[in-house]
Amino acid sequence: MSDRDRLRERLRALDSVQPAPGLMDRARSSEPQRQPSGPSGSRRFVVMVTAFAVFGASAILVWQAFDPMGTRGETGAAPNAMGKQPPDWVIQKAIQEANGNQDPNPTSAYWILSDSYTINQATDPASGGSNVPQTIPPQAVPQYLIVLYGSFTAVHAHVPAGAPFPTGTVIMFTLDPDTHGVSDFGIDSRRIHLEGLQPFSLLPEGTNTYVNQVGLPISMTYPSGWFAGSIVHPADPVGPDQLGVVVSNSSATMPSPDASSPTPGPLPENPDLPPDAVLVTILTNGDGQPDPAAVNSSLPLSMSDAKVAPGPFNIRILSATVAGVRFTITVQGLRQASDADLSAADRIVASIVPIDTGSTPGVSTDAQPPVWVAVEALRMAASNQDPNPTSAEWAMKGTATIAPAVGLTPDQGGTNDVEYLVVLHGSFTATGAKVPFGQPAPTGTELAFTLDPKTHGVLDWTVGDRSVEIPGLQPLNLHPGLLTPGTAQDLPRN
Amino acid sequence: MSVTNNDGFDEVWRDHGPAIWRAIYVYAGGRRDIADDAVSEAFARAMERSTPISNPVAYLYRLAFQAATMEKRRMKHLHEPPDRAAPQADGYGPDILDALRHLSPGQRAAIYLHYRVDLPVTEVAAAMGTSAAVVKVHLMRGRRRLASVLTEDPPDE
Repeated sequence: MSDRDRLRERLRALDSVQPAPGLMDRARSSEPQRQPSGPSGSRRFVVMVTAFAVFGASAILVWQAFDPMGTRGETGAAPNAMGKQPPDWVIQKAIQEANGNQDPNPTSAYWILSDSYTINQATDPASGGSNVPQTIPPQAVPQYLIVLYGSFTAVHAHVPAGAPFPTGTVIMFTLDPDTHGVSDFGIDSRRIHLEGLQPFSLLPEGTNTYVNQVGLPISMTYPSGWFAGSIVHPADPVGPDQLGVVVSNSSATMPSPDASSPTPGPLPENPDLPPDAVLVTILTNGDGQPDPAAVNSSLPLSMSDAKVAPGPFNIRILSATVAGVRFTITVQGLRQASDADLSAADRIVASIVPIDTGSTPGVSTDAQPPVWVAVEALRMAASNQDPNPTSAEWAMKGTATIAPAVGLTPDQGGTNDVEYLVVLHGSFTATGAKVPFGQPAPTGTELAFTLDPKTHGVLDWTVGDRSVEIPGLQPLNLHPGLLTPGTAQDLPRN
Repeated sequence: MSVTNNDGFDEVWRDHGPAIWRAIYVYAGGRRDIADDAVSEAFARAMERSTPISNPVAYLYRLAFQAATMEKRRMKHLHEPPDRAAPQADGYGPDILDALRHLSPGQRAAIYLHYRVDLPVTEVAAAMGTSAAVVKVHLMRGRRRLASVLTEDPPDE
């Protein structure tokens, strides 16, 4: 028996170890479920159910008190400009309620800080909505009243078996400023008029719009404190690369060019993920080319339609088609992810909209190379210390044409293989260049490199101040501003 | 073989599921919970795909390795004690598993896939999402380490 056979024989002992029974059933059991919202999700559910049980009947009456023909004049729907924002926790509660009632993207939102007596009196059906108290009794407690407009379904409402859940175009709820709990809730389809209601934005102050760098026809909005980066990912060993974007509350989740094996899947390969990290991964199914026969998903997308992956991770997966491109959208939260960040992730998904790259300002309609060329260009720019080049050009030529024009090394084999030439303009420092000890790294305003169309690898590159003169150079779409500064270098190449 | 959605995954599971699971089990150092979670997640994600998967076995291997890696890192991050589920508790193959645990996860997986599942180096590389060169290094170093642990000579190449 050879050594190899002995090793095989020893390894055979492991054959007796069997997977847990029903593992395949477990994999199949990922039915569409309500989003897991973290440790306090169940508590929130209980609060909501309790709120319905206690206030269910009265809420209907309360709604009737919000008389659309009320005489108190000021309508909460009139102003378009955003008023003063309520506290962040109120915004987060509003986002949670919007998500929980199946419309993560309400058309408008209003708030007021008042007191329980005033709100109850003002909404008393007997008063027709005009029973403004003259004095506030001492037992009255402060309350926030939040009103959201959209298309809601109260999926947490207690309804008789077989009955549909209540739906409406408006939800309102009151919040206790001390406990931050929901103390009342209602859903209806009336326009709410109440003096003092002021509009506010559900988007946290300061948001960024991301139009991915790899040519996908979508954009999305994410909080200003979050990070975004493009990825090109070989999901299938023999299939086309998947293209996509990762948005996260942690820079540690941004794709790393140094990802060590194994590196499959859309999840970040980073050993230092913070425990509260939340990330949204949007990947094409296939090469990202629009399918004219594809049926687009209804917008806004909702992670309420996502499937929950089995296992210890808080992972929800949503399949969607936008602009004819099929995507797999994954929202993942690590163990200590906050409800607020998970809600923000859901809102990022809800903010996904198609874009017309041909009409997007700043996007050239000139012929463009495959998106991986732009990805490589960004990687090269970043690795040469200028992740935001001022402009870029590309051409596809034979080696014999490119080499003398650019000053690159001619092919010693005398062949004239066709390759991509990319020329970037900016302020580059070739820190990766081999220079004699003590010598500074080469610098220049022009970075030129060639790419192998087959392997996508960089064949040769140079940094200098000379201007490349070669016929057929065309503008290359680069949008550094659309990537979070500093993340262009994180574009992975798997 | 090409599969899409749930079509064909039963067959893939029947023919390759246990091997995938054991590879992850070995990769995870005998952590049954990690193997269960990673493999179920891999199949769930694969079934989620709307487009055909031309090489579902390699695809599943990669997804499972990824999930296992993430889970191992998460546990490291949470400072959970490693390998709480002692291999002896499983009652099978403690000797070889104990020996394998002296290797790196990549070496363990490569050794198992190459010498037990009989995958060629290129397929091991595809399964693990790495290059054939890396797999060869894993195999070489893994064999040496394993031989020293088992006080045997490394097997011939």
